[in-house]
Amino acid sequence: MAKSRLTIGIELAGEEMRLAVLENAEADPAGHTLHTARTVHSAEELTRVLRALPRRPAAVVCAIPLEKAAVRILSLPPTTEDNLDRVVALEAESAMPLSGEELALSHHVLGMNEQSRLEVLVAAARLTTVQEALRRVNCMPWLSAQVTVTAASLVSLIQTLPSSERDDTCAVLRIERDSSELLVLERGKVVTTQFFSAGCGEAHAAAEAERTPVGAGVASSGGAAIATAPSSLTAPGWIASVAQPVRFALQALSYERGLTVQRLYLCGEGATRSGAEWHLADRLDLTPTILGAPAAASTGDGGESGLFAVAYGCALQAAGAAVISLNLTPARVTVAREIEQRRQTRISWGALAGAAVAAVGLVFAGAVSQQNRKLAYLDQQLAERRGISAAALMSPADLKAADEAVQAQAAARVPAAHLIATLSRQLPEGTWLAELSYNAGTGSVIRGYSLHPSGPQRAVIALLRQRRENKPLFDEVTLDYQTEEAINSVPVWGFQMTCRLRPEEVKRSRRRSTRTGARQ
Amino acid sequence: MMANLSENDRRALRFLAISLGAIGFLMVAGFPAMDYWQSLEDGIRAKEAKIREIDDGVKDAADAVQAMRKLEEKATIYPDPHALNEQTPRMQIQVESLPAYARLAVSRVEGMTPRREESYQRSAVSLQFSGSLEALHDFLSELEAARPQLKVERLSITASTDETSKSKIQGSMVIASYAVVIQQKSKREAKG
Repeated sequence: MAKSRLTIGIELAGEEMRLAVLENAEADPAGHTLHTARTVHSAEELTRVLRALPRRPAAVVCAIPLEKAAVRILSLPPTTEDNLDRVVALEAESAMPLSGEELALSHHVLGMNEQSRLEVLVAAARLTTVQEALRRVNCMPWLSAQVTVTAASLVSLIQTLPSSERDDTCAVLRIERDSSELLVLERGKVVTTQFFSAGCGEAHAAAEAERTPVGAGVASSGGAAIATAPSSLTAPGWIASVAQPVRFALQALSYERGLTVQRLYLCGEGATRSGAEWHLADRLDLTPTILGAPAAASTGDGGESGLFAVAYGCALQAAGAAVISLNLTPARVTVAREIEQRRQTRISWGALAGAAVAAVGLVFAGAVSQQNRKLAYLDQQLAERRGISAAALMSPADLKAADEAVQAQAAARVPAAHLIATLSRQLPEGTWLAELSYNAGTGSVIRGYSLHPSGPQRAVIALLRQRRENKPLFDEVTLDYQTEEAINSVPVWGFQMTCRLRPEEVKRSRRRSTRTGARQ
Repeated sequence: MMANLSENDRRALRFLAISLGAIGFLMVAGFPAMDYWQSLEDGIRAKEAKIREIDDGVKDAADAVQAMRKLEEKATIYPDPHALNEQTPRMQIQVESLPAYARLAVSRVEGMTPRREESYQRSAVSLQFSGSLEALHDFLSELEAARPQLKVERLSITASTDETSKSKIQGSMVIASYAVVIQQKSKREAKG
């Protein structure tokens, strides 16, 4: 998206301010589009409009009417550019109708005339007027407006018209509520500017009506025709009061300079009144053309473009597209304003830094407060646990280790009681024990007698079949010997069995060696 | 004097003043605030560790009580290592108090030297006896069911050769019991 900048033109017309906002691409300063055109009535309203803009304006130019300023063309001896300011200042004192107070001056060199003298367009206004205009317009701290005159703005606007609409000699009539201005241009050069105290307001209409009663007009113009004319065809009272001095001025120009105005442009509040064009045409023998700003994107006044002609010209000057750029703002006022702006900027940054420090401080204070609360909570938790003593006990791990060690020692795979009970139940009939030797870790050796020769073998088989907790009772049961003996002359078979228990490690290694042998 | 300074000099002086101000602010407010914050953090950490230690201790104590109950079924627990000397006489009393003991004719009871292992002590007594096989079986059953546990480590019996007392046996046995001394938590575990 191409970057664009905004420039603002403001026409100070009595109590109201007419505002035209131009938008032009930074890449193409000549291409302007009217962004906004509206009328504001107070500094607060102007502030609101400026704040509603998408971005801050790059420049602002306001125009004061010729009622409070003067424009003259001075013919000066050729001089250097550096010296021109002083010469203009000296000449302006005598040429300008303003006196007594300090003047704000601005000039634009028009060129050399036939007498080899320098023609300079000079605008002047009282410094207080300029300062008053700046006070009204500079409603925001970051705003630094320039002041120009309405005539210069209108020249800028005329220059933007297509060449087909521009005649060699043309005049611009700006009609406002309380006054009017006439600007005459020849080939784009200002010939004269004039100010008239007649305007299109109610007061002027009433005054004119008093001067020319209706009855007199009817009598002198052939009553029947006028009496039947529709009321809309009757010229408003202010038309005559404006047209007369304008006609005199144009005639004087014709007599003095031999200039005939070919086109009359009309702008200002008077241009928005219905029928103003053809009523003036009737009285001036010139058909006025409405001079106005191009159609705005958003206008607050229903597209009454003639109203914003001066504001549009000012915006053009602010955009740097004006042919004649007159700036009445004294350099020292601009510098003072810029210094003030810089001071404001410094204060703003200082306030921002202060706010940042304060914010950091507050955040830190908040965090400290939270930590203190956490500390208090922990203190409370500690206080609740103060009575609890978990000492003087062996650690669970040590107890568990001791438990496992005792368990390993105290457990017997074949308890002695179980062995005796098993032998009592499982020895075959006619077989009895003579001696038993038991060891909880290794097993037992059993010596006994049997009346039958197969008794010892059956006893071995019976013991081998015994299981306890899903395990064989003994790992190995062997018959050590069997001998024929006699007890009290009764033949018996004496025998000895060994029942072995192997530790788990021995059993595991035996199983391993058996598997290896099977593989080989 | 300030009026004679150029804009660049003034800017440099302003920068110096701002820098000095920032350093001063850090010295006066920033570092003490950081120290205070650090002390708060340390305090919180220490107290959290203390609470955690107490909670762990309580949990360990509960586990220890449970483990001790389990151990009490297998061994006698003494709070003092000197009390281990009581183990053999206590064991003799425990054996003699068994109901089936009276049904055997015990001719000799001999206490054996206790043996100290890493986490327990083994005590044993040797018994010489005579009686019926049934009485011996009952005595052995009661021994094995006794709490704290008793273990018959060795048993040797011989049938009587006397014609008149065929059901009589005589023999000897070694009975063992175990004891554990409750110690304070090991230092390593206490640190952990």
